[in-house]
Amino acid sequence: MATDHILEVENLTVKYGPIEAVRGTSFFVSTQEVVSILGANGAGKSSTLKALAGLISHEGRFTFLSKDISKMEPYKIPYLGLTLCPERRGIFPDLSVEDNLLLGAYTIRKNRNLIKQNIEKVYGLFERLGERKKQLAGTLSGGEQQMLAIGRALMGEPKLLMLDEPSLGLSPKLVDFIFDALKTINKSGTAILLVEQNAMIAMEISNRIYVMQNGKFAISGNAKDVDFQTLKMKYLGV
Amino acid sequence: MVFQQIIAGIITGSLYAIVALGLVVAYKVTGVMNFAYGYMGMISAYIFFTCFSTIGMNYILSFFIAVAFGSFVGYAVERGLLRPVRNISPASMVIITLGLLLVLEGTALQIWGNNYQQIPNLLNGLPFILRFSGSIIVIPQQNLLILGLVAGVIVALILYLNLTFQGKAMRAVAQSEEIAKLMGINSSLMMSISWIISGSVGALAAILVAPQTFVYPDMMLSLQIMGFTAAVLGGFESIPGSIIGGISIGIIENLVGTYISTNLKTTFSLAIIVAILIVKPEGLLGSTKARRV
Repeated sequence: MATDHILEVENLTVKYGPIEAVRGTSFFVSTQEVVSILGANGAGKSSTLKALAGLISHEGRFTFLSKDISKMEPYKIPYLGLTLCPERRGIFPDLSVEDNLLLGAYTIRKNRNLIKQNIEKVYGLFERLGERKKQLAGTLSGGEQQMLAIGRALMGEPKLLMLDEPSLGLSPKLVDFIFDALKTINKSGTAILLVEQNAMIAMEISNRIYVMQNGKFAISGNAKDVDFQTLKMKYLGV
Repeated sequence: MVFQQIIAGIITGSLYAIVALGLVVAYKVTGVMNFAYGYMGMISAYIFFTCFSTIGMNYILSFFIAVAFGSFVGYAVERGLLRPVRNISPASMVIITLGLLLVLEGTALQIWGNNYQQIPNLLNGLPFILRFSGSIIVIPQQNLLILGLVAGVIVALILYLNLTFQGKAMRAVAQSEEIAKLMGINSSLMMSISWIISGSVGALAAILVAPQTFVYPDMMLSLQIMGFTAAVLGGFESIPGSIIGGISIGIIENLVGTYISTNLKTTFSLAIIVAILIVKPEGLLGSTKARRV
């Protein structure tokens, strides 16, 4: 195992009853990298992330920073620096924007100064959250909720940020804005594992991609080397 | 006369309010409607009776032992009885709590018998007398104690839930257990804490009402029904709603009892509440969004 792999996944299998959603996949993410898992709806992408976060039962072995986390309780995983930013509605709608961000810092709750700094960083990245900090998160627009979900995931200073479909349901302009923010986040040292149906925009910011089909990786490689048109026709069903 | 009845209503209502509060805290965090709630409190009233009257301990010490026992009962019921069956339907969960009610009632009957046991008020001094535009209002000291303790519990709970990190984490679990875990929140621990709070609040309510109702296995029946009604009236998800619901019911009940009929006071009050809920089905402060049932 190369030392710069922060996440290493071997033979991950996820079953829903008799149906295998993920069938023995293996992959890795290195420090500073942006890796995307692409594929059509139902290919097993989201299940992969949920398994890594410990939310669904799975088989296989994965290590984060050389530590086996495959059987770890889900709430302990973010303490190691591996954080999942769930799909768009995954905010706390009845709490204020600021309280949502505070809860993102739950893993570092003892360090008030660091929390303050990180909140300012998030407001720097997403100004609109700063303007709405007292507002209930459920009253935000779809784009703002996505910003909040990402901002909240950053509050605990993850080493690897996993994102589940951040472009879902957003206008093209907002998608560009969100992905620019992801680039900025990556530049400041956070590795990113991204699951996306919007392959084009994901490939723009990715170092490497894996394309998933029926629970397995059909292709993998450097984002630059994969021909987008072939990918689109053969694997993404669009 | 009216003022006297309103004050009396606020005192009864404050007891309904904390019972409602205890029910709502456990419901919001774990999704369980606890029909054994009053009976869990009843056990603590017996613990108080045993410590104070049978063993002869100091009043305050007995009080704390009984409340601590109530928090332990809350913890044990959630951890031992409900958590192992977390994934069954809410309807089955309700049946389990009803079963627990019967077990607690039977246990109390076995240990302490069916006699009405008396426990004294903590404060027995002269009542406060207020003269107010020609009328006289009499407030017994024990009632002021009830009001003060209830207000203290409510303020402490609201501060805890809104200002502390742990309280916010608990509200996060109430909204989504799964997403709370993604933040690093130990959802199971939060569920235990919510039942510990709920259990101690229920014990407090039982000990405060015991000097009026006496201590016997069904002592909490009426308080539990009115507490549930208060919670429903308040929207079942809202803490301010429970408080407003409890106090309104207390006042309505006392006014109906004085001016219409003492025998019909419960019937009448419940009829008024049904009427309110027909007009506003989500409760006074409930939200109209889809809720966790």
